[in-house]
Amino acid sequence: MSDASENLEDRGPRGGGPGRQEGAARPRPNRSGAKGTKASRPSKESKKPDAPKKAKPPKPSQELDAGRSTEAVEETAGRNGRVRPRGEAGRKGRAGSGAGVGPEVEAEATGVKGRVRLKGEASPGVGAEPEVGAASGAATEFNGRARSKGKGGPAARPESAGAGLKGQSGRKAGADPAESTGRGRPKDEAGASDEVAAEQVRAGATRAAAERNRRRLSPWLTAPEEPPPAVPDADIPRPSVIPASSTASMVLSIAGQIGQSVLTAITEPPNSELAAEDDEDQGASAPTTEPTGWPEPTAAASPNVSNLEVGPTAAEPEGEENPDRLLEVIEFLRSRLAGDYEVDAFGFDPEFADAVPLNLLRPLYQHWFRVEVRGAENIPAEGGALIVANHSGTVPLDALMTGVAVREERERHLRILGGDLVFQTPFLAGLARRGGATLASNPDAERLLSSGELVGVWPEGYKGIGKPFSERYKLQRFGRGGFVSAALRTGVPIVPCSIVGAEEIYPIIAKVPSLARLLGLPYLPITPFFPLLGPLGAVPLPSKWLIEFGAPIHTADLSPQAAEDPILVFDLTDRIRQTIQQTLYSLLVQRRSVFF
Amino acid sequence: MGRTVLVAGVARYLGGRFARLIAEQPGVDRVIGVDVIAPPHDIGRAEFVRADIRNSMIGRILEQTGADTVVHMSVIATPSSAGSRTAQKEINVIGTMQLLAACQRAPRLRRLVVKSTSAVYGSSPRDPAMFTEALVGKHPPRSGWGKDSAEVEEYVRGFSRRRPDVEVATLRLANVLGPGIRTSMTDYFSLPVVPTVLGFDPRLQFLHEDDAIEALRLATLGECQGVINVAGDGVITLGQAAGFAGRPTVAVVPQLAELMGSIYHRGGLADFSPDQIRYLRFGRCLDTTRMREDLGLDPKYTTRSAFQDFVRTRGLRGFFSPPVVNALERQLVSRLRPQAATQTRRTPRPEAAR
Repeated sequence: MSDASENLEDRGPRGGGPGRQEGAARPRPNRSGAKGTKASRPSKESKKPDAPKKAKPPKPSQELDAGRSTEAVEETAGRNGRVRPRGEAGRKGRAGSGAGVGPEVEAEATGVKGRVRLKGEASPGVGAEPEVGAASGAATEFNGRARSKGKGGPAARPESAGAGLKGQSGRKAGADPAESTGRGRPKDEAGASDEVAAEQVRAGATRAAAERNRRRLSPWLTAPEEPPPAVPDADIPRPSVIPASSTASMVLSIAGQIGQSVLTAITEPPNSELAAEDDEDQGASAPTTEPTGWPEPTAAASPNVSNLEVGPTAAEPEGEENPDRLLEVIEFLRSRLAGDYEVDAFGFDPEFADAVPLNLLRPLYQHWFRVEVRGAENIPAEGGALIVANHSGTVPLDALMTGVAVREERERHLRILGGDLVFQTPFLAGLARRGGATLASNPDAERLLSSGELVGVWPEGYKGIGKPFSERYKLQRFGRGGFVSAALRTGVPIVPCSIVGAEEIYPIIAKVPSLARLLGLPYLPITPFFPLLGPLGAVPLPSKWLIEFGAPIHTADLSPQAAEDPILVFDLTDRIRQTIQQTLYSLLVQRRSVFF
Repeated sequence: MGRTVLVAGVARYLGGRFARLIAEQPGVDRVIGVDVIAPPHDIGRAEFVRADIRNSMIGRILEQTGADTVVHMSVIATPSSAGSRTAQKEINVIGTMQLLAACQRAPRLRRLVVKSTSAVYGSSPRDPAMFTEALVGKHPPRSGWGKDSAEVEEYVRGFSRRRPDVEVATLRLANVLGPGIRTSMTDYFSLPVVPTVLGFDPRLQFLHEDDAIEALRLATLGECQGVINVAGDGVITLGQAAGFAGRPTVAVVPQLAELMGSIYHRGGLADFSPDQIRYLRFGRCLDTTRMREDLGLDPKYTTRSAFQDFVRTRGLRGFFSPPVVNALERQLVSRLRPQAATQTRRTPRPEAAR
């Protein structure tokens, strides 16, 4: 792995790193056709795996590549395997059994919608073709890819890519052999194919379908003209089709999703606790007027009160879900208006955090960035812990997404430590405090940690978040190690967290330092879209995110005095930084491409 | 033999109440209240001596009475109560210097208690959420009461260096609220429309006047030394406070806020120094660990209940008062979901009852 990562590091910032691939000249035209910046990045990523691959004996992993789904745990092993095979697959395929592959591919293919014609075009003269063609009334990108391997790559590859993003498959067919090897996704099965048990294939296919399904939610991948899947396997979940052919429609569809999710949030059935609470309240409160320490309600108000006090409701009629949700909303608004809620010393208002920012961010988390969380079990279920993560993305969406991830996976609130800029910006300041953020300073961090909160820190700060795109995934200096001393003083574990995907949301291609100074900002980014497209440029690119929480580093056995030992603090800081950097590299290798 | 306590600033509300209370304490023989004007309130058994702490007369009083405890409460918060900013500064700073100079010459002095304010921390977005006594604000106050208080504390520190045998306790009180006291904060929340700074909802902390008096009593009769933060537990946001007071808020852009402050000042509605406007932007919160452990004060009122008590006793009520809002909500619910109306009926919130 280490050499792999070195390679990556060398190569990361450069462009495609063309020289090192087998196929050296890889025009990756199809991608670039699809989308401006995205194009360059993905192909690079996908190439990376080659380097390590070569060294290793081709190991047929059983899963179809499609099998990379989200089930993280069982896969970690497989994933690594998978990564390498990705490249191998092509090779293998080339080498050997084209024929054998066919059937499996089909199995996979069936679940998917795809284009027949692609296949046809795609598979010039390979043994596998006929079956493939037959099998798939439809083939996706996947199928395309799968076939390509089987066929021995070169010809097929381009289509697969093309298929995913646009129909122009056939053209480049011959163009890039290298890529086909590089990304011949369906990897392994090629070599292994013959003996692969049918179930495995099916399992893989199912997972693939699930994955695809998930991805289909990303509108980038859908093509409106596709017919619905012809013969879906019974157990393959139906992808929900979201037609979107252009950026605009994509944006629309996402907006639709957000709207929908808000809607479902509103129409969701009430949770039972709340209902129970309501009942209790009702039982407890005699039909009196406002029994608070408040002045008596105004005369106008009182009649209403008595009117409302009907007897206890019997079993609720169904259709109650909506009303209840509505009532909750009203109740929420009432409590805000009357000031009837609690905030802690940091200004954190848990009810608000769950009601507003979380609901706003969740669609972004699930559908836009399709965040995949790994190692969530490394976050302690209770007690203080310090989550340390890499920072990137021009706008601190990574912190917000980590917060959502922690909330979703572990049901805990992440207390984010933010820069002072956050707390001096109107509106943002109030939102941040209410959402649980506080200033990144040792007193605050230690106070939160010692009171058993889960604290998230991004020690790279502005250096990390505002670094140019060319330096993506290269960790900057980790502050002054203040976070380590905070953890040491409070004896809480440090959980390293690596976030992949945030770098690509707003690629910084230039900065305007003079204007930034004028505006009092740490940096003023220029992205390919930002000033150019105006507000539209502020829409983050929908990269695919991976957030991996690493094994916690325990500090409880070190005494609080250790915080006074600078050497130890520096060592620990470096260790954590290294851990995160290595994890980033391995995640990058595993990542198929930037956007899926 | 009991103690003799000298209270500077007895004509002011807290000073008067404190003098009355301390005079009734067992172990206290004599209480001398000093101020330039006669106290408008009853100060009980305390004796009133008209004297200006800005001149050396205070030294003679100390000498004659043989006071062993001095409680310095005459730092004035608002220019209007002193007549002008110049007079305010004069009383605050020069008065303190004279008082401390007299204290330094008083051989029988054993204890000095200074009432200071949490405004000495200032407010800034770069400050930690909670101030312990050891922290220094990133943006210390640059004007008005806060700056005066910071200077007063500076002189007090100098004094305690020169007279190490005298125990010095400095209490940094959060904004004091209550049925009787009048401060810029109480004026502020009594405005028909509460101006806020656009886009900011600061955390505020209050101290009920009863607790403030109790804190001073404990500091006077107790053993504690050094600087101690005193505040009610918990925080409320400005939005919450305005809600409790039933006041609509109007957001003012930060650049205009200072202008508004001076306009209010001119109109005699409320006193707002730039530091207070910063407070209304960034808020401030005190760590009160020392208050509990060293001073031994367990405030009867939390920040919230102190504020609610203030609202109730002052009879503040408006269109947005919680009862009105609650009634409105019920009405709305009954319109929308008649069958579910009873469900929303809620028992009084515990904190509302507090």
